[in-house]
Amino acid sequence: MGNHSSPDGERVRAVGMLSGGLDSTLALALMREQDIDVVGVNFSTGFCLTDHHQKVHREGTDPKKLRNGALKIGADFEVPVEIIDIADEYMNVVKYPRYGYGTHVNPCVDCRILMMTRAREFMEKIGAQFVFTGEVLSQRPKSQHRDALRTISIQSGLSDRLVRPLSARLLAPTWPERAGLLDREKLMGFHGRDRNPQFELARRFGIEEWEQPAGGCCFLTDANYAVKVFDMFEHTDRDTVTRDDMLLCKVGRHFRLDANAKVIVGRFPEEDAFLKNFGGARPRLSAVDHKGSLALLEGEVSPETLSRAARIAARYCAGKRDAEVRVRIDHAGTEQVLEVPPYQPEECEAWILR
Amino acid sequence: MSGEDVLDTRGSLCPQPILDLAKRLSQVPVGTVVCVVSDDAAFPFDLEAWCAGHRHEFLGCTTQGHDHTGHVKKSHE
Repeated sequence: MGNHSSPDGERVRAVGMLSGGLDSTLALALMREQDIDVVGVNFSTGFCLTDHHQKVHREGTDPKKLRNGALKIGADFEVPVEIIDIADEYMNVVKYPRYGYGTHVNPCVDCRILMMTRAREFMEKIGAQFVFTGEVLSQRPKSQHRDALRTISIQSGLSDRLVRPLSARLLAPTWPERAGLLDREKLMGFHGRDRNPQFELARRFGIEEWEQPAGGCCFLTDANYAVKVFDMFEHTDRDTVTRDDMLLCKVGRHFRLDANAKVIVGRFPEEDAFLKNFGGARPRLSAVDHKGSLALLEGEVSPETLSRAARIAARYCAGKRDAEVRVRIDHAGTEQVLEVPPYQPEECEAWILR
Repeated sequence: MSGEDVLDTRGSLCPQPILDLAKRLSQVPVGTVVCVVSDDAAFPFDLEAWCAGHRHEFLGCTTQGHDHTGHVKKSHE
């Protein structure tokens, strides 16, 4: 068993970055195995899929699937988990990533630097000796190759106070290992995308439940979401993009009409409600005489764009085969009704962002 | 036991209700029961888990319609 007290006799305390996924759960188990006193941190970025599924809560969704996985793991291991809200500052990371994007709109290196910087600050605040994560060397192409891991350690200010228990034996010994606070031989040497070693370790610890992998629960790694966000960055002053603008890219079908106008149409009632709540001052359109989706017009509001948006709203209502459909437009405290022919599917196909 | 304190977080979603609860518990004396109301579907699970991790006493959670009402007793500073 590794030492569980520091050279000055105090119990060794560490901050664990917990997502609720398997890797961070195993990292936590490895630390508890060495009797490290762990306080977990879980970051709320505003881009977690679970957060989004809560906001667009479809009837019939099992609420257990919406729970915070890090809190559950904390309860299972009797470890307190602090939730840290970084959503506001995270917006700048998404808009202006110093280290660029991954395959989609995921600024993984910048994201990890921000989170680990906040974890370091928390470590200092509570008097812990180091921070650990569930990162696995070379598991993810953008943020987990050797150079990226080093960059994240240095830029976060943690340097060798950052331990990756799942790959520790493939990495240079960290300060807790050199100081004898952690037994390096009890840490792992996992590498790459093969998850079988993790599954085997989970069996050893009796861990049977975990959330999907962290990278897979982040909206920013979603290809369809990235298309909408990059389209918005291309057609909007990036400085002015707000959290609500980013939220709106998560829902509905998006139709880019031209450089100045876009229409968003809900795909089911809960998305319609979401669009209504987060649509701000954008004109809202819906069929008067038929059941149908809510549409938002974003950008230039003119008779032409309103007419085109109305024709799209008409296309997504029960009267889509009628010659004309009445569409109500709510905008700036006024209401008007346009009677328009619904677009045919092939007419608006080319405008869909996907 | 100290008096009950009511925290209405309806309209905000996870993690906000838990963040609000953590802040409120930091401001009240040990023994205080805080009643938290939330319309977040996962709130009962998150609340019980948070209490277990932080070793505050989870006194239960009831549901009426979309509203969940949980009770937590502050067990330590």
